[in-house]
Amino acid sequence: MPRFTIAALLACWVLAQPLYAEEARAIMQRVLDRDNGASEVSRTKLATCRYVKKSQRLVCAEDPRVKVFESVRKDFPVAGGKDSKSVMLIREPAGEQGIGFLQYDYEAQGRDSDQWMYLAALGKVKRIVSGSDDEPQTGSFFGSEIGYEDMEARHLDDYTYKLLKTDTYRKRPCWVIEAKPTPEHARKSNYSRSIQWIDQERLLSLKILLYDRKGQPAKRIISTSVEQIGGIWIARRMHVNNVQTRRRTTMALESVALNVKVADEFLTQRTLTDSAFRESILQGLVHTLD
Amino acid sequence: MQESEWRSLTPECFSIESNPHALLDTASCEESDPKEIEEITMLAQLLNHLNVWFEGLPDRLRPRRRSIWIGFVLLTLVIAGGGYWVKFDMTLDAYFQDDDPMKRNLDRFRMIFGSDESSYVIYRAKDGDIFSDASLQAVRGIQEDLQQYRLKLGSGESHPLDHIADVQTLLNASYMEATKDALIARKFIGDRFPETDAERERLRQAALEHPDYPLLYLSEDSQYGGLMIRTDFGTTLKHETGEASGIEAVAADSTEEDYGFDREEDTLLDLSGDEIEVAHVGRTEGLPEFQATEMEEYVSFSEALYEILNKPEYTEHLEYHPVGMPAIVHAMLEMMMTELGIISVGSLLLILVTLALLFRSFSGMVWPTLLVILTSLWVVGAVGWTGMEMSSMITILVYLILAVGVADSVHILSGYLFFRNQGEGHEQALRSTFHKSGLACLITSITTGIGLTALLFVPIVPIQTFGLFAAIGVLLAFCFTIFLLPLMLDLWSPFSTKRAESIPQGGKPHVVQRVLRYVEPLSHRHPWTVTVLFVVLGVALLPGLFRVHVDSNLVNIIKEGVPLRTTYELVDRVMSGTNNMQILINANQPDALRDPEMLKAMDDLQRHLEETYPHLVTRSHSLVDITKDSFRTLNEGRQEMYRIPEDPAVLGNTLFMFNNANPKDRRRVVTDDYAMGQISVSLRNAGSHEYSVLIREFEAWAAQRFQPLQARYPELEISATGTLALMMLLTDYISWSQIKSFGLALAVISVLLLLVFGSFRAGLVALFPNLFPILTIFGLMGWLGIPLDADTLLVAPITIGIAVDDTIHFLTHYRTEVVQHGDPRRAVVQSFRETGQAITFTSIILSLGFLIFLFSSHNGLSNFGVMSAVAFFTAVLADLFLLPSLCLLTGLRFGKEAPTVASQETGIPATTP
Repeated sequence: MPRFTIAALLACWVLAQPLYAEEARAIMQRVLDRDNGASEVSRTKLATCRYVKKSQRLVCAEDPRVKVFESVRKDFPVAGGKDSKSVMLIREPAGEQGIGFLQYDYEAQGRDSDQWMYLAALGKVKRIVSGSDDEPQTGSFFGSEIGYEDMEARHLDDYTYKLLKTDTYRKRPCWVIEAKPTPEHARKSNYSRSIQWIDQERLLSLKILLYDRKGQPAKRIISTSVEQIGGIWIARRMHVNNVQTRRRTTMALESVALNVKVADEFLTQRTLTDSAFRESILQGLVHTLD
Repeated sequence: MQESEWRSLTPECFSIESNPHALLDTASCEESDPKEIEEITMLAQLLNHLNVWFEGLPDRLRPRRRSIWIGFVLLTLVIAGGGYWVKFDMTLDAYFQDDDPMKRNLDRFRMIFGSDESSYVIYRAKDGDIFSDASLQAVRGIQEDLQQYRLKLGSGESHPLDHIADVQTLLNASYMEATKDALIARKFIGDRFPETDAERERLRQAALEHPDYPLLYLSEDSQYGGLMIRTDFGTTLKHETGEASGIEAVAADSTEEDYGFDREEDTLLDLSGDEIEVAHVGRTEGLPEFQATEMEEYVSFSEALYEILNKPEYTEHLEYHPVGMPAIVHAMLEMMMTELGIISVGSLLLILVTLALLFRSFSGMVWPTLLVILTSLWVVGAVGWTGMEMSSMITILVYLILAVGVADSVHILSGYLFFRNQGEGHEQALRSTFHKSGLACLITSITTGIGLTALLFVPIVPIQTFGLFAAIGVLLAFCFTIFLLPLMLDLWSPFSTKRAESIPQGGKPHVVQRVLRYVEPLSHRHPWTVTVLFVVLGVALLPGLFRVHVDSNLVNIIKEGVPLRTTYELVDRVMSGTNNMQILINANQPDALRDPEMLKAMDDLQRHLEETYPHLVTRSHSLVDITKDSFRTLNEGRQEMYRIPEDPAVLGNTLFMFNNANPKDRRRVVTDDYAMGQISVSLRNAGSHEYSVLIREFEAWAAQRFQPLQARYPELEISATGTLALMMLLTDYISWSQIKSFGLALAVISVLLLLVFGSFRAGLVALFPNLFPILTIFGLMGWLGIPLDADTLLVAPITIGIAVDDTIHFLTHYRTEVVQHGDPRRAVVQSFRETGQAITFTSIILSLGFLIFLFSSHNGLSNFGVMSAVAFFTAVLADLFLLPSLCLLTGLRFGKEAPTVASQETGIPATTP
């Protein structure tokens, strides 16, 4: 009898391993498939500073650098999911006004995002290319602590997943899931591992820990101010703490509107370069903001 | 022996009051009329009492020898045990007050830009081509090993290579490229190794044409490549809480909580609000304190690095020449450890042998050595017990104790043998010796001790510590000589009866004694000639004194041909140089470095440095270079666009682009708010003097060039910083502090000399022979162009110590004699005979012991050895010839001054002692 029990337990344990992995992957699938609106218009504030610890609290070591940008995203359904196009336009600071970004994310496995940058003062659009397919992107999003890689859409198959535990995080029941890039994806990623706290009900990532290629802690990303907008859960604040550069960025959605009708033509390079075209459409879109 | 008996033996007139019956030598007292007796100062009386006290000391110690020995052994065990807790702070930081502006500047730099210390490994491809597949593979292997060593470690484990912040080579150097519509920010080679010769050539051309790569990642003939390993040395924050500033470490090391992240950082800081608390570090808040790097950290870092470099699969293709702080510390310590060990032992052996030869006795060798060792043990133990930190000045301390300890014990031993050879018995010889030399030893020790204690007033902690413990050491050496040596001699005396018997039968006296006998007439026959000779010598040396330059050179102190020096010479020749300096451009105002005018001024400064000091400055790098390269890239790579855009908006966009593409490189040259930037200047190795001149000159130049910008940026400051360049300035600063400190000690000692004999005239007479050795060594160093650095400076305190010793011994003997007989000439002869041997012995022993440093591969140490020998030798000359001549010329008689010798025709005393 006891022998049977041990054998049964052992069998359960052995079987449970892939099961946990299976479950973790399924959860992530649900997270990626979560409805976040077919389009989004928002006004966002990015604030970044280098920090020090003063009397046990973290404070900025200098005045935070603030950038405000307006962005428009639109999804395009494709087989197995969606492609996504977005445009971001800097409003503040004055010296950088008019600088814009255009980004295309693709559903297709293995296809990297395309990015263009428009430098208003030079009047030039440049496609941003990371040199080799096998190297991680090093750039930062508008000079913040958010990397390009942090902004890109994720592909489910680029990672293997493991459910570490269930946990209550900020009063929300969460799954704690570890994701590791597949050997192939690892060559392109800045990170060797991530641990995420997924809200079981809302399927939002509330906290992400990112580890660099040496396995050392790199960034902690925490999402707060979770609100329902048009029936869709959205975290309006994202705080990124880069523990290596000792810098933090808060990305705050000052205003946001979902499922707004956006013309396809707006998500092209013309929006970057043609300011009359851009402003006329943007006026209408910004109008929809809360 | 009864007290009354020994007292009755003292031939003193001046003990009248205390012992009116003890007038033995009435002849000498006839001259002293009552009026003169009144003139006798209290001090003189005290000195006379002390003579008597010392004379009886060995007899008083003898009955208590057992308890003295036991007590001493126990005390030694306890005190020397403190040595276990001795803390060393060998860093240069130890020399600074925390608010020193230079240190603050460096701390500010470290706070903002991280460490400027790097390990730079030059490699040569064994197949002659650093772009060959084998070479590139090897470099990639090394780079991966350096980046991935942690994979084998647990998350909490620390590793010496954790100090690596970044490894850069041709493989991963950031490279911006423009095609018609795309901006490509990539690694220079990455994984795309060239496969054909044509590809290799293209790559080589691209590397050589890049504005930043040549001299950094490859030599101009592409024979050599460079591996730049940036570190975090010097940026570890002190983990102390409750600091005045309240600014603390944000620890990089993680607790195991929260999967390796520091849990408490969850105390979130929402930056999206309008009111953000800001601690303007270095402005409204104090700068955090950084921990000084321990030497061992550099050593273990280098060892871990070399372990990877020396893997056979890499050494098969590459040959290395590592430079930078970790490499230099590693090589120096390795060299010092093996060499200093051998040389110190050699020096000790030489001293032992010389002692044995001079005293022709084994115990004459053992006792002085034991005294020196005991003194050192006690001093080091005392340092441990007080919990004070010892700096690199410990070497000076040990050598000073050695010199003073040898001098003290040799004087007593030599005196003892002198009197034994005169036919006195053991106990009587001890009494005579202590009567004659005890006081001299006391005065010497007190004078030197007070001089060293004066260093407590120098506001530099290591110098204070040194002064305190050197004074303790000098006094301890004296106490051991006075209280232990007589007991030691009771146990085992260096005098052999056999030899004593041989002397009356016409046996040959010691060679030193024969030489002394031969030169003796010089001391009293031609006082004018001798004095004039010394004056002429002094006048000749004096200009040299003003030519002495303070200069420390990290590499030139190593003799030519030694590997470390060869490596430095190679790197200085083929690459960007082995040293670097940072120029801090602090406008203290956001966006100042987005101003084209500011960048232009910086550009001018860089060009000025490169053009004015081509022998020193090889390259410079700043936001200016990044801007030009970015602007060119944005303009399809057109060479004429390699410039600073004039339009602030265009400049702003250019900088925006670069910051997006490569924030890491941007952070290295300018702060996030563009309020402060740095120019990194690569330098060839040079001495601290040359660097100081460079820094002084360019700062003045910059002040002028940046003047027009001052209106817009009133707080603008341009200053040099950086560990290595600054270290040189600090070394100079330390040297100067030491020079001033030793000068202070010398001044205090000189004043004491004026006072201690109770006669101003005697003081003046003592002063000149005392200063002569100092004048000689520094004058000679000036004429010979030997720079004054940390090592050659060692000579100063030792010379002061020994010169004072010799002078006081001679003068004390002279005083006793002249007071007794009233005849300067007779006193000179007698003192010469009694102290000449001891003074000469001391100098021979120490000269030989220190001359062994000649064999060091370290120029500083060998200069130190030679200069010490010169100092000891000139001290003997000055004290045996100049001092007697001055005594005669001034007719020095200590209160019973007679006409000077020039007008006297006194004969030499008929009796020889």
